[in-house]
Amino acid sequence: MNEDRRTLVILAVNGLLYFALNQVNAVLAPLSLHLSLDALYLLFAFLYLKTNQGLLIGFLTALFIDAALPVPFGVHTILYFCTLAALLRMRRELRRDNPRHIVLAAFWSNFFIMLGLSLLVGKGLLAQWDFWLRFCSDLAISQLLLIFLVRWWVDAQRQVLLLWDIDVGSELQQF
Amino acid sequence: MVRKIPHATKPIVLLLGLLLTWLLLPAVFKSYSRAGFFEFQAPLWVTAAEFKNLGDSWALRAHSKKELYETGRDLARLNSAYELKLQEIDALRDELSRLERILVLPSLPRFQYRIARVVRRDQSSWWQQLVIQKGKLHGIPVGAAVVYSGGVVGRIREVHAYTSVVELATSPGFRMAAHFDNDERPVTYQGAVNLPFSSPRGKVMNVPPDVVVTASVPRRLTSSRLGGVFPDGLTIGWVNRLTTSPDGLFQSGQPYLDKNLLSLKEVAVLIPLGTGGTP
Repeated sequence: MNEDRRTLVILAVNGLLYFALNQVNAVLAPLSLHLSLDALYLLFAFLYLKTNQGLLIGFLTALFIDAALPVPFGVHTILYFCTLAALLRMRRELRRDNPRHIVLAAFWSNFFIMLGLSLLVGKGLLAQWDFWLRFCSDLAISQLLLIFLVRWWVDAQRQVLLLWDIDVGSELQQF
Repeated sequence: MVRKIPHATKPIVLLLGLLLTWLLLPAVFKSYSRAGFFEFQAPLWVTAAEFKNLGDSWALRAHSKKELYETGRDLARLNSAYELKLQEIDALRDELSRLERILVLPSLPRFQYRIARVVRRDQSSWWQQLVIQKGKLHGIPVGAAVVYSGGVVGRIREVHAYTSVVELATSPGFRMAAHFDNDERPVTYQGAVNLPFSSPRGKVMNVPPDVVVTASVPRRLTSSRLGGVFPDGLTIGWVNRLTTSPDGLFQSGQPYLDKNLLSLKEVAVLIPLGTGGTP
């Protein structure tokens, strides 16, 4: 029951992040800037939850995102699964109590997802210089914000779980 | 004896298994779950937009009575001017119908305008779209033209129960027939990637070589009725430079679009009369 509850709580928190991010992007739209912080949806699940819970959260979050976008349904699912698989391979080397490891994991996950999305849905745009210029500006602003946000966001999710008497910090991580 | 999968390859096996499962899922399931997920989140966008409207209306309440009186007076003058224009349009319409009858010409398509509020914006380098607060229940058809006071906004790409998705004219996948002001020859307009901190842009192609534009005298690019989606003469953008293709047959350029296109709050959907848009 406790396991189900934490999945639901993290899913709800992801929904909130998705909603907030869209509001910020609506404000940034007149400047032709776009924030992509997909790593934030996955990182907590990867660091503190079981593999199957992480995959379920990644799967449902990806479908939620894909539903409103002009991409083939499942593109984010594939990207999130690939990112989680890559993170799982590095799980033994990464320490969740090391802030630098958390930032690095978030940084590379986000970079991978943004690049993957460009390659999968960019199609005819990949040969255009303007596309890559815009991609680099979006990437730069997203990664910069991610570096500042990621630790705070992971801590915030831990605090939210504490409201439901779930202390993931003190639990042993199971693989 | 069953061999144990090494720890390092376990995620890869898991990933391949999941991808295979996803690929094997029937398309019907994917289509229904997509619609379900969209309809699930649509009320969130609508609620957020309603809260924003509420905030705007409270902000308007801060205006003094004097300001409201002056705005009302200005609007009354504007309304009078529009009333006169409407009478003029009615007369022109009658004249047009008369000429169509005499010359046995097919009549021009007529549209009904349906105003809709923007509830969500997605404007990245990959896609440019809006979600508006009118859908199937309001008679919005797929492919309908979307306009605003500044001209063309885009086209309806998807219609849901009470929301619709509009593909913006700035989206790289958007194409439509267009022509220059006072020149009926058709050209092709296509959306393009918007660069950061700059006005939205598009691409105009297949421009005849004798069309001349200069930076000091830019030319207006307008919608063409070819294709039957947009009425004629709606502004798309302004072109101030054209370059000739290597073969010299056509020219191409980058029209600059209105900056307001990226921050629209309300748009109008043009529903062709007689195709579900019967009043």
